[in-house]
Amino acid sequence: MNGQDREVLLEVSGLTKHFGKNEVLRGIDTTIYRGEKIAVIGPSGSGKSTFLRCLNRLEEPTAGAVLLHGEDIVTTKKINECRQKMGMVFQHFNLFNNLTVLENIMFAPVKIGKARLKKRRAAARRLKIRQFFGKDRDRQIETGPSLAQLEKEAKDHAFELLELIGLADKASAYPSTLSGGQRQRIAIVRALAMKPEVMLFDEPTSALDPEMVGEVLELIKKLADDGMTMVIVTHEMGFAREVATRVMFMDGGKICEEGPPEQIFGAPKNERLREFLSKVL
Amino acid sequence: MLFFQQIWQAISTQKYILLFLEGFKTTLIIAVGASVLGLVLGTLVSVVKIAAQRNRRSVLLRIPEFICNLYVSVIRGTPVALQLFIMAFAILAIRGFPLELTAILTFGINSGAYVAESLRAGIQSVDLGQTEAARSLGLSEAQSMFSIVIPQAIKNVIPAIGNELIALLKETSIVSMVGIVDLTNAAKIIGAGNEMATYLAPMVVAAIFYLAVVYLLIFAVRAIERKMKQSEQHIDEKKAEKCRVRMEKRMKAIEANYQKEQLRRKSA
Ligand SMILES: Nc1ncnc2c1ncn2[C@@H]1O[C@H](COP(=O)(O)OP(=O)(O)OP(=O)(O)O)[C@@H](O)[C@H]1O
Ligand SMILES: [Mg+2]
Repeated sequence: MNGQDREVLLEVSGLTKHFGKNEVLRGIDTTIYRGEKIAVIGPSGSGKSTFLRCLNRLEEPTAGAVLLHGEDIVTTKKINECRQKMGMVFQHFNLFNNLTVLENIMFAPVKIGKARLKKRRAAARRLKIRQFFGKDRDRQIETGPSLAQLEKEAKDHAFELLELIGLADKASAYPSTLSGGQRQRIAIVRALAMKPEVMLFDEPTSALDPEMVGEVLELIKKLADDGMTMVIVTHEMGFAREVATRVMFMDGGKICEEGPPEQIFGAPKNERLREFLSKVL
Repeated sequence: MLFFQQIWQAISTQKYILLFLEGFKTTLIIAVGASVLGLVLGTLVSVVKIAAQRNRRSVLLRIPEFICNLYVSVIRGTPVALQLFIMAFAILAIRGFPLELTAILTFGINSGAYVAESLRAGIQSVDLGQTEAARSLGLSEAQSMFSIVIPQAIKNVIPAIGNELIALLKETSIVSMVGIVDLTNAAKIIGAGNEMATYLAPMVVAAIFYLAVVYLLIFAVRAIERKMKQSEQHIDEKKAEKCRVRMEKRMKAIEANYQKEQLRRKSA
């Protein structure tokens, strides 16, 4: 577990968030390497969700930086491009109620692909006009796949993902007709449809009936085994112990202790962590 | 008995019925034109208001937000008859400017303010998680607003918007005050004529026209509401069948590919 030879994916430094006078994050520093599975644990109100939501700027940080491949998410103008590389899964699933399961999964890839295609076509048109006047003769712009191709690819990918979770027969159902476990698994593959480099989970099983927790954790585990980088806020200590490569204990808006699960659960040093573990284990 | 005779006279005399139909047409044109304008304006205004509210830091949105707030409060705070007079006798008092167009603009601008408020409430009633999910996938604010939030908001506000359009249809009757011959004015003209010599019968006929359209609208709104509820609660059988067929095809293709692969391996 030597950090030097691994690729840095996210570099968080001095991350601070205030809600009015309430200091929820008080300077978080950490580096997330590709392939890491990080479990974030801590008491309620310690700022875990806020930390996760600052990573993709769903919450505007008050200060600090979050570098994704060197681009600062906090100040970037291309926040949408950055978010496409980071999938997020919410406690309450947040599937789009007005779309079917298939449409939920295809929606973002098609919409974003379309916008990109439009942009490229406009650029190609402008170039053509310039070339007509004898400029930039040697340049060329690839417009990429056509709209039909784009849609077909997205559809095939969506079906592949649905097959992965065994819900292909629900492709044309609306979210309101599905169970919580099914909804959450679909929410996970919806995020995967954008082919993200890192997945952020905010208590993905907290809103589920106990009998459905297993199927969702199993899917997350499968992703972990496939090498996906992930940050999971969770109260499932057993799961954290089993899947995480690093556990982060947060309290009072700070990372109090972090390390491999054996250390955190086996030999906790921090007093607050020991107290927390004695309550939840 | 005389009353029914008069009603019969009002709808059987060609001169009268033509005038009724002419007035009815004018009423419909004004109502439909104003509805379209109102819906477009209302959507724009509500989106601006919500966008400004969600991006408090953006100075750029402050000015349009101020204009929208001013628009909504002025329109909702003054009588529509006064608005019509101001438009017809002051702002658009241009020789040759069609009065019907003035009416469409007035009522469109008027209902736009009411639609905006309904729609804004509807947008706010859509769970913020829907927007967050869309944004977390990398969609822009506009994309998530127009493709995810507004369709759901519209579903929530269809009853309110339906009521607004019904109210609009009835309110158009005040255009008679600026001399437009709409349904109400047609009834008045007929009633004032020497042959009829009563207002009651033609007014009742006009009322029946209004009632018919209002009931049609009520039924339409209910049908749309029912349709929308259904589509989200049940699996669309046709769509499901299509998906099943697709799936089978795909599985077959995968199978065929696999067989080919196996054959190639064997021969190699
Ligand atoms: N939008 C907000 N506005 C104001 N205060 C907020 C907001 N979101 C969170 N907070 C506050 O920030 C603090 C930390 O919240 P956060 O949701 O990050 O905690 P958490 O560790 O995720 O807790 P839990 O385990 O209950 O989910 C809480 O005190 C909460 O009241
Ligand atoms: Mg939380």
